[in-house]
Amino acid sequence: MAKPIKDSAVILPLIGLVLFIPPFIQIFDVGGSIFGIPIFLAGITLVWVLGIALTALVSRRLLKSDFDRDD
Amino acid sequence: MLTPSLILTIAAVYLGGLFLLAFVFDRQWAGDARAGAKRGLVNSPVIYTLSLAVYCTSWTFYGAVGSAARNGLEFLTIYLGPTLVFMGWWLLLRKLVRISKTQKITSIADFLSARYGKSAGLSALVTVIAVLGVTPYIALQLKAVAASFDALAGGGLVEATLDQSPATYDIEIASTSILSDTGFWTAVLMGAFVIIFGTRNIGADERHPGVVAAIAFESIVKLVALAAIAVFAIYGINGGLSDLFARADWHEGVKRLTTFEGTDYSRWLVTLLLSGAAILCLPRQFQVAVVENADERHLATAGWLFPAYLLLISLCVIPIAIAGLTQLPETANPDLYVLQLPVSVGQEELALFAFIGGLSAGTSMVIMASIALSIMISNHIVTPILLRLPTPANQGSQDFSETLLLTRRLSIISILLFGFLYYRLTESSSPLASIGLISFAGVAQFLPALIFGVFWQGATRTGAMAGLAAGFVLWVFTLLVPTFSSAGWAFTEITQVGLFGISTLRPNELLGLKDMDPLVHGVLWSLGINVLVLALVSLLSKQSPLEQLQSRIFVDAYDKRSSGVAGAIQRSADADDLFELTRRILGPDRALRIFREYAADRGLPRTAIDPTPSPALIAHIERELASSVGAASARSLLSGIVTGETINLETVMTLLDETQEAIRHSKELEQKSRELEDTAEKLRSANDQLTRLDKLKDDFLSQVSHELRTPMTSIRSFAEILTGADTLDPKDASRFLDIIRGESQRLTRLLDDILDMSRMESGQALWQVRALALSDIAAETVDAMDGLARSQQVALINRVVAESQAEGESHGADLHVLADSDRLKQVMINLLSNAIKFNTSPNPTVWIDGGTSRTGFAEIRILDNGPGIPAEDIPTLFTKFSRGWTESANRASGSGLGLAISKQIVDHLGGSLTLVNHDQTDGSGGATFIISLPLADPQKAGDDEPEAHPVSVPRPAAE
Repeated sequence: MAKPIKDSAVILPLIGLVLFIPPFIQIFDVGGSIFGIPIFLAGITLVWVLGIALTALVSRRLLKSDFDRDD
Repeated sequence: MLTPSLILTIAAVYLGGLFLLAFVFDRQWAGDARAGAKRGLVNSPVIYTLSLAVYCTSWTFYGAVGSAARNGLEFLTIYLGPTLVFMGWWLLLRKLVRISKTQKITSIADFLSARYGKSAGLSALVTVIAVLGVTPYIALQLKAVAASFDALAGGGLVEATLDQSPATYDIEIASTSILSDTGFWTAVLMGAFVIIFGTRNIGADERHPGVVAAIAFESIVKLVALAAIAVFAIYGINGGLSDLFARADWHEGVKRLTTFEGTDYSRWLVTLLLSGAAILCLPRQFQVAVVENADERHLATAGWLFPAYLLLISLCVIPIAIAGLTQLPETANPDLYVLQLPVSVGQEELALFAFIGGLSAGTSMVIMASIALSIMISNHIVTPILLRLPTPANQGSQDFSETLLLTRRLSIISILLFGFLYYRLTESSSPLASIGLISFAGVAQFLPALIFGVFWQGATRTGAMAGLAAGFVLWVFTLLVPTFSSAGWAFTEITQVGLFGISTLRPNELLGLKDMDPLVHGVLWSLGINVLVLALVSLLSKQSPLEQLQSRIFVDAYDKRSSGVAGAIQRSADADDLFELTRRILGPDRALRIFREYAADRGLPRTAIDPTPSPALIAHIERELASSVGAASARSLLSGIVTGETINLETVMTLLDETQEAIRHSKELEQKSRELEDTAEKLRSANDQLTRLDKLKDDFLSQVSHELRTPMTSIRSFAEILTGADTLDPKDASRFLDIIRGESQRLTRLLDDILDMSRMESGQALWQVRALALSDIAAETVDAMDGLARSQQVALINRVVAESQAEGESHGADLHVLADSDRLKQVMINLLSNAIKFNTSPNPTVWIDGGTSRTGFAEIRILDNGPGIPAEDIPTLFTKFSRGWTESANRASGSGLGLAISKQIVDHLGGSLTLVNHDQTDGSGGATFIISLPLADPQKAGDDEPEAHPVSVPRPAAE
């Protein structure tokens, strides 16, 4: 149980990195807008917010896990 | 109308408030520390996170909007880089914090120096690079504050600009009186603030809770101010987001803010890398994130809260940039859109708020950067020099801690002065964003040494030095020189024709790498060569023993053993020398406290100072000294008084391993001894049981002897009478002979029983277990006992058969049990004969009945209306030689083994033999023995039934 959460703490920023660099960042660059906001900006914001939420989740689990002992 | 004096007053009140806040928090922290409190506002993870936002300087506050207006979405990378680093806090930041806590690291220079063998040269190099890289950045903040003030107060907003091209460089501006320069006063105020709250004490750990609280507060102010301008830009002067973004259709600058198209891939990647590096390597970021960290767990909050802060800042930038691009004159400077937007529509209060926001952003950076740099300068440049000089400070008994404080303060003044001069002398330069990025690229040179340092044990000091030096030189050549030359100050020739006139050595096209963005070009060269040189030289050079030790401590930071490594270095020192050194560097109070606390932690008397300090104490003192003067200086100080230092990683590791081995051994021993104890316990209980059995055997033997003796005695005495008396009446003689025969029969039965029992106990008895119809068994037994019952005039009633037929109720007639037929009959006959013989009721009756128990067993019940079993006999009823019936009753008739044998038989068949004594008060009286046996499958019984088995009636065991 502790192992997967520690792994996801490492994998999460890597996924973020891939999504925030070209060419993957262009996934959202499809033009048009949603509620008046360009889809590209909305997409980046969404990924960013998701990243924050997942990090918060993982961090809380990490705090509950055996924090001092690892690796 | 905003007058300069009004603006100045408000700014002064705001900064005064900061002083007050810092003061209150410092006091509260001191109070908390005394009370031993770990919680409270000062130690909150939220304050920690907000203090990290010192990352967002006026470069962000004004410059991000400018960058967005000029270059589109590229500004986002400045916030995405740190976001990713903090999302991955578990991987890197936690390790940096862990190491810094155990090693009492004071700055990034100290960190790198400590990792690479406590090298003084490396920390000095890092300090020089940091100062060179960060000073322009400080100048930039002063400039932003001054320019924003001038813009707001002077009213000439649109003309005022931070971004003057080299052509408009005007010596006149630089020569305005220093005293009327807002930048000067900002620098003075910040200097005062930092000296008051940043250098109040030295060491313990380099934490400044008052400063951190002020920085955190400023982070809130700048975010709220920027958000206010953004909301104003969206809804105050425009019709919402749709309205704003609709302008992308006709404005090229706005369009660039809505799509990734047109963004330079390489610049995007490089700025992302630089910002990620900067959040770790900028001296002020290292200071707030690592050195000021109170608790590793705060990272778990900062890991998501800081990215959230950066997201909010980024979201604010875009609307302001769009509004500025489309609603301000084209001559307006994008770097000042934040101020110009509210002013352009007469919103002076909002403009003032924006100014305060910018002031917060600028001052917080100046404060934190000057603290971090002053620690680095005093610890890594001034102190090593002072300690080498034969000055009074270095000799004799003068308290060095005072000198250290003075050095810190002078460093702060120098840094601010340097920054101020830079700002005064360079009225023109690249736009804010590019100064910031060049600064980032400078400190990013620390990144390879930092990352290799904590993940690769093989990285050597020589490698780090070489990589850093190469990176630094290339940074100066490819990034600084072109900037200077484009600003028109110097190096124009080099930029145009190349170094020494060699065209392949042109800073922007080094070795013919053409057509690249200057920033990408410079970063690739400097960082690339830095990494390459670091790796190659590390592979080719050897680590000194101390380096090996330190690299092990840093790379295996989570290994509990690593913290013990330093204490395992064998060295000795004179206690007086050690104390004297500590006193001189840290002051008498703290020196005494350190020694006492160390003694107290080890349960020694508080006043005891061991005349021969242990290596662990020396290592402890070294760490404490390092917390004030840095690892390298602490080491050189100690090496002056320490003798016999042998650092050999292998020895140390062997020592540690031996300790570990010893610990593991002792654990194993513990385990063994626990096992032994267990075994001993088992042996003891086995022994107890044996003893008990032995006693039982003795008892049994003595009982058997007793039981044998009684008939033997009577046989012998009658035999004597028969032999001794010739004149015996033949009638009497024949009666005596009958008695002798009877007694011998009894003896034989007793012996048979004992044999039978011992056969069963030893498992030699043969058992033929099969399914038996209960009705058959009951009938056969009753037939066998009929004679005895008649002779005793006892009514024997077989309910199993009779009542089942009569009433149609189940009395077990249809049940089958798994048992050995002969043995089961033996048990039943024994019980029946007891019930018959000892029934003293006037109307004696014995019943045999059947049924099933609730637990799914078949039950055979033998009931009588006799006197029942006395309560005191019940516990021993089924033991050998126990007679449940009163001794007065025909004593001579049983061996006393019947019930014991019966129980053994039933137990062997997997059932149980129990007694239910009837209520004696209601006259019905009597006892019920219940034989519970496992049920058998009647189908199988049916198969068995045709198979004739011998029906023998065993003799009653207890008659």
